[in-house]
Amino acid sequence: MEPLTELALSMKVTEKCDVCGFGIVALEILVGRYPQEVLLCLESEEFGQHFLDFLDKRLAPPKGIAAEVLMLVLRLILKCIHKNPLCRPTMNLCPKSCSHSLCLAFNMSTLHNLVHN
Amino acid sequence: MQTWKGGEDANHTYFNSKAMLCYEFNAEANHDLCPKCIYAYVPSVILIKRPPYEEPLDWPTRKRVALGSAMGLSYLHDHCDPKIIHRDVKAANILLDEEFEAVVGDFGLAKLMDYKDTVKIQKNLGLLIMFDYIQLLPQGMGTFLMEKLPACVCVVLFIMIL
Repeated sequence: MEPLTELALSMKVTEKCDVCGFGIVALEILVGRYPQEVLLCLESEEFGQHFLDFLDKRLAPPKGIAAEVLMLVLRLILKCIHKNPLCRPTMNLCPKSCSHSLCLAFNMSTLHNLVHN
Repeated sequence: MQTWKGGEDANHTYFNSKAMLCYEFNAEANHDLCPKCIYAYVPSVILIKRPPYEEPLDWPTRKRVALGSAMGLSYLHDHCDPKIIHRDVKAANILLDEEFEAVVGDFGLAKLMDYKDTVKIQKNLGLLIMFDYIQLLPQGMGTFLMEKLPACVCVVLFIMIL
């Protein structure tokens, strides 16, 4: 799943490796450290875990608009780190998506909902 | 996270300055008028790691960091000509200034692509690292820096010299 590993295996250079790297950096921003546990859950397709468990515990959980933006960003991040590079969005899309918020109840934020919505 | 700060001394000569390689996205730049590469240096640039005893960044600040990183990469992919693929996007290469504006740094593995090329086959990663690094070192850098300093307004490219 690491961008450089992906490069070494596929021998192809596209901007999708940067999209994956960005996704992991953004996930690290949310989790507050390298997001090892989240990546392992995704890789083994254990989607039952509540994402709240992974958020940076040093901060209070976001509320209101911040929570909605967070959910949108998180859904985008999961697309960025998709196993298949062709399924990842372009970087042109990321800033636009981050700037708008959609309504998604924070307490419904299991990884399953985020991955499949 | 890392931050960088600039010194206030404006009289440093080229040989006394430190510089850092990164692209900074500028939403107000007119891309058609921007030179493809503009170089600048900041006297006494210091990269420091954020001390652990500092308060963790709040959610709005983190959003700004993520958004800034995304805009920087979007700029490289969609506005630079030729297109630039960074290939080493990680937290250590996202630099923050004192206002926590994000800057994409360390282009040691970056690859330039013609827009017609969507894919390039890489043959030897080790050699690519070396050649890419050599490619990115601008020719006549010192002279270029001195001549172009006044023009560094729209898009800023800093060069890290170790």
